[in-house]
Amino acid sequence: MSNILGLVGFNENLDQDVNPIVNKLFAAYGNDIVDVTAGTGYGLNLNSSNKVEFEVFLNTVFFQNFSQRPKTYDTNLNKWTTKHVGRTPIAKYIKKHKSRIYLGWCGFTGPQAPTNDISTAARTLFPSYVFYSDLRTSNELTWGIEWGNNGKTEAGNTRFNLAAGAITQDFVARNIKVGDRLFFTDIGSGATPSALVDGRYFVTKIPSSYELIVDKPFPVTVSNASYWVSGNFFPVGADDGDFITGFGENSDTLLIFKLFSLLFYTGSQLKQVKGAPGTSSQRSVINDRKGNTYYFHGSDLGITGIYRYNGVSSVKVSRAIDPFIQGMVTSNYDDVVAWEDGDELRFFIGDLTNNNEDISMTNAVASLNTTTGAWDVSPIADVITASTKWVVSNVKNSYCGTSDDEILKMASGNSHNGTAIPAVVETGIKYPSGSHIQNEFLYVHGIGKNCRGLRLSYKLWNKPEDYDDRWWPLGEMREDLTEFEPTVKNRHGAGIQFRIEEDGSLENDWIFEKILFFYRPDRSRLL
Amino acid sequence: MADIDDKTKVSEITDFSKLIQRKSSRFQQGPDEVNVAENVSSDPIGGFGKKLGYAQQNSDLTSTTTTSTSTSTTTTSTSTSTSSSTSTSTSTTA
Repeated sequence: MSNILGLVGFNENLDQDVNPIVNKLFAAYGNDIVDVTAGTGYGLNLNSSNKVEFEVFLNTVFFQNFSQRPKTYDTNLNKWTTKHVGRTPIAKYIKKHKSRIYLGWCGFTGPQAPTNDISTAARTLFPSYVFYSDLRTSNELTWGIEWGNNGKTEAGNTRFNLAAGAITQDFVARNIKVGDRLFFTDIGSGATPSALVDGRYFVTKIPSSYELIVDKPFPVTVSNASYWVSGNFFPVGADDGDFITGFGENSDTLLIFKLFSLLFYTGSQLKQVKGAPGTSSQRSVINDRKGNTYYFHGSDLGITGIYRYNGVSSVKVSRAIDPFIQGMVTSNYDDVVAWEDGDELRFFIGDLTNNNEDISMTNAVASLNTTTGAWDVSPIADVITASTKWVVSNVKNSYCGTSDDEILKMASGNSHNGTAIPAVVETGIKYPSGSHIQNEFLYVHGIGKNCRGLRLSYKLWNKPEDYDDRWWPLGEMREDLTEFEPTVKNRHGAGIQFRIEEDGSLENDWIFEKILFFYRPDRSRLL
Repeated sequence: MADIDDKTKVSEITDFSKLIQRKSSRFQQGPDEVNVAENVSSDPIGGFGKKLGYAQQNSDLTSTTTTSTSTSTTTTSTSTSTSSSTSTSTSTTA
């Protein structure tokens, strides 16, 4: 059993292709990407168990797993190639926005050879930088970035070129531009040439594919400097000790999440949303159809929860289910996955235990109905690890990947992939005469449609000083209106609470509508 | 059904539309709020019904999934450059 590491639905845009339209659901699983419908892989030999992030852009699918050289899916060849990602940083997060594609929490592959996987010892990482592609102007997307460990400088000279040997860099092909910045990170010996590192160099000319002219002379001569050159990046609070944790999109702005902050990028300006925490899980970021972006933040217990950003400010919207959220396992904070089922946004939050609130649940999903504002927290039969949308026959459905090799079509059928779905509602405690008045509860009516088989039970509260520690059964609904009679042994109390449940054997066409209860206030008592 | 005499009263719960509210005290909880809601939806206005489930798409993915005839190939040509200011290298394809 393995996690589905990533999932993406791809519906090709026919306008750009004369071949039969390609509609595929791709899952990253084990060491490969798999065409879910065909059940075949592509022989990619993924070497990491990192989460795999996909993004659909330019009529193809981009792949990143923060380990291997990124790839894209070629619809004509039905294979994954390096088209559009010839020289592209690796990244944990990837997001299309307007006419560019953005990368967050980035690193370079081996400084010299772009075909190599990253080497832990040699890699250069950018936890708080965003890199982005150029606007597409040719058949191949460029990223305006180049890097290597073969840089040469000469003291007193503004020329930067490359040491002899195998060269994989090409400043022209990568679309390095006048005004781009040249950075040095190391020299060949491993020491840090502070004179170079601390300098700020701007490219003023690109004479050839292997040579740059910068704006001021270099102070020292080096022959194997590690460097990178680009103008397609911006730091995101690089000095605040907080790292990028994901992307989102709200209206026409790119949202950049860190764990403790949320920023938006307009294409020219980067601004922070005041007071807004970020997310701990990229896969929890989801939009409704009203212009809002929702996301899960998990850190300090007091602020952990689900937030809604409306384009101006971000507020916690999950206070109603705080006792459930507080029962989460903290190691699941970065594994929360969201998807959409009709008007509901659903967040997989894992196992819950909160003894003080009598909460214990396996594979919990917190759901918000964006129309009614209603929350429910429900157990399901699987661990959800990834989600996507995919259009089939003009219907856009949500699909989820699980921890046990499965791809699920959501909002479908009357079971959790064969496992019965028990449904439960427990009302609040009703004090019909106030908490100080004892009542005799005589009869209860349950009313609904197609409710035959639903079971009702009750608890009494403040009777007068204790309360029921178990549910007392009333019986099963027999008709759309069924009358129940509480047992004569237990019908006196100030308050009453009801439980309506079914074990999953009923079709999901029932609607429970109303409870009536008949009571007789029998005495007043001051405690 | 029993007759309702002048001492017997009726109360009703007719709205479940907000479902869970566990942050409020029991006395501040709204009339349309509940303590527990599992696998139910507030989509029917006022009442609640059962959520839809989910179904597996195709069969389990397995580690022995066959590889399609297409495989990813990456070609990289390399060239050399002199150390002089004028490079004589040919172009590189990554």
